[in-house]
Amino acid sequence: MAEEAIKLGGKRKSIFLDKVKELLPEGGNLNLCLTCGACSSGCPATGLEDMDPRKFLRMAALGMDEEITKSPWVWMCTGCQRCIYVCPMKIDIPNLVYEARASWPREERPKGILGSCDMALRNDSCSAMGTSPDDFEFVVEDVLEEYREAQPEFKDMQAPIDKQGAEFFLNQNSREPVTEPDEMVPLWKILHVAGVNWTYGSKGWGGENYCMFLADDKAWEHVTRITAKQADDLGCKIFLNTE
Amino acid sequence: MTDMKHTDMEEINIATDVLVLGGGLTGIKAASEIAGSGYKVVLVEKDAELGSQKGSKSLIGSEEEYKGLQDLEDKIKTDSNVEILTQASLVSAAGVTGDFTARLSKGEEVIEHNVGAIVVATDFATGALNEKYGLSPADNVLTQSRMDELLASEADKEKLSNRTVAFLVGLGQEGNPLVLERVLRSVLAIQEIDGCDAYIYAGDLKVASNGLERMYKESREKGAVYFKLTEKPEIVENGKTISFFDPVARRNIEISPDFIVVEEEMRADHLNEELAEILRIDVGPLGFLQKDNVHFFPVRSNRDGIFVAGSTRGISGLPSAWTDVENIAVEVRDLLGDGKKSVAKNKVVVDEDKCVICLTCYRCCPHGAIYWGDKKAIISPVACQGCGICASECPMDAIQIGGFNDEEITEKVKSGVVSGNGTPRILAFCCQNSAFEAGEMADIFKMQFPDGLRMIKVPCAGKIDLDYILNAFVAGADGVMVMACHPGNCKSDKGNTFAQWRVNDAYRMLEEVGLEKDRLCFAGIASNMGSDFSSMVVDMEKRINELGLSPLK
Repeated sequence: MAEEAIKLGGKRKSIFLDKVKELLPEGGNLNLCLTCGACSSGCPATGLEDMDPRKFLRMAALGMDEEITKSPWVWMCTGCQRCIYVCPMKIDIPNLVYEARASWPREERPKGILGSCDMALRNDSCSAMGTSPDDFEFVVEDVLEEYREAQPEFKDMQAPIDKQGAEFFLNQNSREPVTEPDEMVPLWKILHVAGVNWTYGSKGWGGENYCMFLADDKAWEHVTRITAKQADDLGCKIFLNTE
Repeated sequence: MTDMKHTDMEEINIATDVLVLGGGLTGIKAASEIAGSGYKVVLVEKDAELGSQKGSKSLIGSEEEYKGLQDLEDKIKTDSNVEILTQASLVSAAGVTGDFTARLSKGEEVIEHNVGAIVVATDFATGALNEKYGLSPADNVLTQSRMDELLASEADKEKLSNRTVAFLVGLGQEGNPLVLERVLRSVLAIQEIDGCDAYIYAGDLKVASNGLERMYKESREKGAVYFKLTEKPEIVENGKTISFFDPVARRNIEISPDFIVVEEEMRADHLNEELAEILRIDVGPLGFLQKDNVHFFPVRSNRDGIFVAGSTRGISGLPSAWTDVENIAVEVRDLLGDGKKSVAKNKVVVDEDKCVICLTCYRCCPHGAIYWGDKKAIISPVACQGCGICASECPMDAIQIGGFNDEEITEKVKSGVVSGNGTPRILAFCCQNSAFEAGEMADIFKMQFPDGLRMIKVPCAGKIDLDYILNAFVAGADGVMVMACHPGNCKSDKGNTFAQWRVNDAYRMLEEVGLEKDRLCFAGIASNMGSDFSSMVVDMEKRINELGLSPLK
């Protein structure tokens, strides 16, 4: 059974699309869709929740604010930007999706993303697991010690934290120090062999930014500022995002 | 080989006034441009007013274009070189290029003018397409013209605030940039009105014209919503609601607009056909005065000295119509110069002793270059294009074309039948615009070429006289080929058709005398088809070999 017809006419109510256009450079080109469908052909989320990027944009253009801002599909977009890449008009659909996420009441947003963002806000680690800076330091030192002993060819290997003047500032997936500590080691080994001068930070070492995926601008900025400041304070030249 | 060697020239005087038919946006520009070159212009308009006062302003184009036209109109009204005749029309036009006698009627009066050139500058006409959409005129159903009127008045504009307007375009007719331009202009104007929304249902959006893509984009940026459809949407209750299945949203989209605006068609002025008859120029598809033929220059007609501008030859907006006019102004200067023209004395000669003024030549000349005097037909050397159709059709053989007279060609036929060590002797009559060039190409590129083949150049296949074909056989040719331009591709419009008729006639005669039909063939070819030429002549040689040499020699 076909869905009910979309009824238009009278005063157009599209506020959402106009609002997003104001936020984006060139209005995100959001009015330029040629409905070619290239975005939908490549989108990993096409077909989920009976939605696809082109349909999403069309509905936004027709002022169907309620339906698109309520669709759970917005949480299935990975923000990969493939749609922009293939779009002949370079339409910024991911940012439209982002703003649709932001329109959700915070507490109603998906639990997994919400929880991970909240964990990152607990302390200066900004880890999605909520791990404290002290715990991170302990695990790194402990694992490093273990490998230096067991593998003599790596007896001089380093995994510095807060090393002043290091060239590279590295962050770290939050889960590994807690659940798979050995997973941190291969990268250390590569950096060691390559003779790279690097460091972790005791603050802002958590590599993910679930607050961004949550479309929580303030928290996203908070997390980003902590890690950026730490890299600056240590005098690192290059921020190497490992996530 | 020069065909015009030892040509005696003579100087003739030609009239330098120019007649411009149509006082719309095209005609005003034509009068202004041509008068600007120093020629006297007679501008004839059937209505009481000239261009900018006629019909809807939006039909002329943008505000600047409209102003530009008004300025020109003011200019020509005070130009002593321009005589403006309103509420006037052309009754007849005798004569040829450089010497037309135009009779114009204005009320009871008939005015005669001797002019050297004539410019046909009619504008397009518009028509409602409501029926194509099943809509009847009503308060909510507007034609594009009506919408233009509303938008032109501040008071009427008010009525559109907080309203929804739907446009239908490109679904009731083949899309056209000018039709779309009017719609885009309205859509943009509407978006300046408080709370007025525009939805455009479009079959195709033909934006291939100056600025249309920009206007389209601008309207999108301002919030107009376009639906690209492959068929008309469902319109119920005379436009109260419009719905269609949107494959993008995968749902029906239903709109209840306050106003529905129907596109209009733009077509040739109905005056065109009448003028074409008086001027003896060709009428092409849809009533435009230009045939579909790649050999025809855009602003020229089939008659020298008669030009077609803008919407006379195809729907044109102001910019393209004005470009036409500028091109015509150049052509007119070339043609009229300072009123003196040098022409070859022998370009075309009518033998007074033979001519009986049967008017066969007058009727068959595709260029309208022939009229008659007391003793013989007169062919204007200025208007004549030298195709030779008349010369071959003349029952008295009274007409000779310089460089291609019967005596010379008969000589070429005789000398062209060469004994080729027993290989077939083939004569190919080749139009110089196509087959002759293709033949030369085949020769230069050393493609296969029968030993006994000789080409005889003619100015147009229409010059290939039935006598040439028969004389070739009498002279002992084993095969004869008549090679013309492709159908619809003749510079003289019908030369290839005449050639085909004569070949058909010759077939009948060959049959009567018991000669095989396969010894004669007619073929269409283009100048760049060298290898096709080669295979055609090789095939012909094969056919002749199967038949054996001609029994006549």
